[in-house]
Amino acid sequence: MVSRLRAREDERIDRGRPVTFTFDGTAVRGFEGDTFGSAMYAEGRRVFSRSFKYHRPRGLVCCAGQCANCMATVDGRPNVRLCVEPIREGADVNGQNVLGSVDRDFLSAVDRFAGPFTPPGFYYKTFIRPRRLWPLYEKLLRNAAGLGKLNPEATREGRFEKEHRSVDVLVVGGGSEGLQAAIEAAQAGSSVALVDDGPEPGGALLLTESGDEPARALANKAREVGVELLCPARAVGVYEGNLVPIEYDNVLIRMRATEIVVAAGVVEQPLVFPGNDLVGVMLPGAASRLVRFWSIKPGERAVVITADDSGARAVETLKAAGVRVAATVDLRATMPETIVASGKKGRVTGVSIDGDSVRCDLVVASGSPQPAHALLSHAGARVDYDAGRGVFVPVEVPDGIRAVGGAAGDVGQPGLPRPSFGGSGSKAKEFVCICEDQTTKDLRYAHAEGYDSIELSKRYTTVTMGPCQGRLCHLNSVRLYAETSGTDESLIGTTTARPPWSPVSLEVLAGRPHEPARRTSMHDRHKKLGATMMWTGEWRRPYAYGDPAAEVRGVHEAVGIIDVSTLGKILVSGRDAATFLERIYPNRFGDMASGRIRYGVLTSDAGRITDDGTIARLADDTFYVTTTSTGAGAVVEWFEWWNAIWGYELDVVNVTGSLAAINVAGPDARALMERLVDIPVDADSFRYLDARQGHVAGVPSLLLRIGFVGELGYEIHFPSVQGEFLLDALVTEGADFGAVPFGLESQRVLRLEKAHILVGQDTDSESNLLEASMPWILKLDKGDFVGRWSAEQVKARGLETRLVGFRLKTDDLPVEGGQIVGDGQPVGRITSVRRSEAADAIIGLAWVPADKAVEGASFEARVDGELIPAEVTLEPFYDPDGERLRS
Amino acid sequence: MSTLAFLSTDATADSRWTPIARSPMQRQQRERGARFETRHGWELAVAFPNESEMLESVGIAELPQFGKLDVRGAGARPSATRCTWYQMTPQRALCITDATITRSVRAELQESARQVVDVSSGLGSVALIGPRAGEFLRRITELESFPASGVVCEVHGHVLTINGGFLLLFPQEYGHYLYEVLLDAAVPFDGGPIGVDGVPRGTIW
Repeated sequence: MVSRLRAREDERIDRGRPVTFTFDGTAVRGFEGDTFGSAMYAEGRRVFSRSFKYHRPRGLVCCAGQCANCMATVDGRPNVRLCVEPIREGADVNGQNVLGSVDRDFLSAVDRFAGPFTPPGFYYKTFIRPRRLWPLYEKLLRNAAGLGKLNPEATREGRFEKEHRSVDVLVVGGGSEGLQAAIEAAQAGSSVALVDDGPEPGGALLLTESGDEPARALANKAREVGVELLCPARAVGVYEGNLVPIEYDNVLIRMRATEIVVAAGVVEQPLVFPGNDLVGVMLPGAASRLVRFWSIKPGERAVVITADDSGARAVETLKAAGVRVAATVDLRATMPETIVASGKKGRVTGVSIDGDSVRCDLVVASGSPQPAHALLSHAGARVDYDAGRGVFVPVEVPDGIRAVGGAAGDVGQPGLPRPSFGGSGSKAKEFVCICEDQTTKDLRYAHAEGYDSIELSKRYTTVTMGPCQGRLCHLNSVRLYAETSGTDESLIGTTTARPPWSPVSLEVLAGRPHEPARRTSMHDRHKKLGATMMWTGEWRRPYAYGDPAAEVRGVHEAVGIIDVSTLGKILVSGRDAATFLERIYPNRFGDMASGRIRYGVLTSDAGRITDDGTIARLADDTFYVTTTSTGAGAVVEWFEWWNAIWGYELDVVNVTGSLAAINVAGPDARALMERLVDIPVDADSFRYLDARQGHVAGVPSLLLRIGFVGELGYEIHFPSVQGEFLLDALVTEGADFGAVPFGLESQRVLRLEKAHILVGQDTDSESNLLEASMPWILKLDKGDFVGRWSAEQVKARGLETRLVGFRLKTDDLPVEGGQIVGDGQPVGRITSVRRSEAADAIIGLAWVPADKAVEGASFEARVDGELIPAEVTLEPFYDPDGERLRS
Repeated sequence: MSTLAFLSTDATADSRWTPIARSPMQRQQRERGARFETRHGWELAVAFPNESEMLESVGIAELPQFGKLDVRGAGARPSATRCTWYQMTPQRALCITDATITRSVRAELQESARQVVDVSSGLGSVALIGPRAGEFLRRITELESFPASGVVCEVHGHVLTINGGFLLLFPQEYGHYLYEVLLDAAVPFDGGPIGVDGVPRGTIW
């Protein structure tokens, strides 16, 4: 059966440009300008999908992308609404949620036999015993119900962008009122954008005889006065700050507007009667679109039942298309007691109105048109029920939002249809929610079970939670609940409208993936040197350049070079800089001479360790603070936060990115440095914990004589843009010393040999200085400082745990985080552990009960389920007197 | 040396050492066929293939050699013309200078400002130039009135206006990431990289 009419002047299709695609493997031919739905309808297809739960045949209902009745999978993409999706050559369209095909779905047995087993909330009542069969039930139910299937193997296809925009006025809805509002705003000098979900603006005008010309005239006028027309585009919702995400092709426009004008019009409402989901029952707008846009004859013999003028318009359109209108019911004039549609094989064949049967293959039916107020509700507008017209209308619209036309409640004076025309005689299902297959019986059942609030009912029955998001069922469900409970709709109220108002795919929301990573300026050189990279926070750092054990030996025996650019670097300068540092750190800085360095540990005001690093005094009023690799931002905030209270005269400048840093460490470090620097680096001129400025290979640098890795070492801090150059110079000049670049893994072994802690690894959010075995840094004989009170409390109560070093008497390496066991109970944990060639043992740091923090004390660590004895070591494992470090 | 001399990119070439400054975008620039030259101690991508076509839409030019000075405390603006002043807060400004005058501008500012920190090495700089630069910018940031500081491509940075486009300033350690994201974002615009010499005269100063 081909339903295409003869060519009409204002049709949207180009008959000279045929387009062919397949539906379930069968070729379908349409024309450019068709949607998949219109092309399939024109070729005689009436069943487009199967319903969510009962697998009943479903046909076109709205032809406006509102409902779920035409959803199918297009080129592997599920849940595409065929009625609004433009056709494209070669597309592969397939029905979804079926076992077989949409014409012959074996799961439709659910409709005939499973009704008693599938009441609302059936998954709490049936299919629950025996419990061991639930996985089977779950699989069956998930296969039987639902929408399209996602391909778990799918990869990102296409390109999705986000765009940030702002306008003075954003108009949502391109009908006559929306266009007019946009034109007036633009003429008043505002920047204006208008969003409409149709392929062209015009809205309801386009559905009326001779409506095309006025619509086009308005659209042209809008363009002339500078209105930006975005169509087809969909407003997803209204968010705080008048933010409206708009899906426009492959771009998600994040539009902010000083004023939002909601001109979204109305949503035609289905009537609730037995058989109202039969194929061939559709809304007036759908019939009009089929005829006017795509020159399709919707049926042969029609019955029209409506509550407003849309019925008369539909009759006019249908007659012009050659459809015989067998009966017309205007609910404003006549209110039947019962309406019952009957059908065969899921298709409507007749309708009985108060017992009078009329044969037909098309029922055009609608109730009171509901103002499309969802976007207004997102913005905070309240909606009230208008009992006279049977619709919810927006009231108390917030500032910056305006509603016009149908969305504002301008829907005329429609008739007030019954909440249900079912009466008591029909056994046919009477659907309130066609997306979720919820009937009047289901909602009354839920009400009888005590779900007497519409919000509870929504969650229990899922009414309004389907793909239409309540467009076609919200009003009817509220009205049915009011009737069932014997109250009025204003007391029932509405469910909460939440974005998205229009469906939006996750790929559009996600946009392009961004994964910012920080790299040091030597990154590419590390890779050329064979480094394996690893993440440390946002940074990429070399893990190793080959064999970490060889790197450790290289540092102990010759000289090693490590990129430590990721250290946080902060300048604290100003008249009060020393006073500030005295107060924020637990140790002293006021007495430190210029050119000297001290170790510092930051604590919270609760005395918990938060970061550590070195502080070099560059001048009386200037200090250079280093932090952990991921700590710079937090430390800068910490400093600024406290100084906002203290008000000292100083500046805090984060120079982490400005400076690269390289640590040159090992017995030959001095000899290597002597080849490169223009200042003396001998032990007397440049002592341990000295800070000096000089040029290294011509690059201005700050040199710090410190040694995290336990050997004679120089940390060179210099402009990061010269990172590659300086690393090249060090590697080249160090070649005859056997200089080796070393990575994080080697650094972890080396620092563990010295029992140097890593904040965040060896400490946690509860660690304090005393229990972390750093009492020497706590200067309680100075003035107040951050964390002092807490430190005093810990001192007063006595230590409960201690961070200590240990040697393990086994060859098996325990995991970091592994248990320390005492009397069969976990009493501590290992924080760091490595095998050390220099110490000839497995060494580590662990939190143990305070009474175990004695040199030579023993405890047990759990390794692979076995308890292995360990011995406490309070001294560093390597060079305990620091002679190599200070040499 | 002054207290903060180690922050300056004024490396000294001598008979033995010739320090070279390089940007983190250099590898990607080489992959895209850039021609490099050394100027002011920088190895700069001076030209790319087909860069004139990019300028008809949006051209992306890395200009790392600019001086960038973080100025604290209310002070007089520099007298030099080849510099841009961005007053971030009443007490803090960013001064972008031509590479040849960074030292003299820094000296001038130090006379009146509380503190001047040379952050030339810390901030990368990329110019977006061309008739679609504004449209392009809307795809990568929600900032809309400039100059402004905020998130650009998920990274905190600054956006300044220049003739016919915008200048992005961002932490240099994100340079490789940002360059990749910018070039990718330019694909729908038929935009792409241009070299330092491809920047039309008068675009910056």
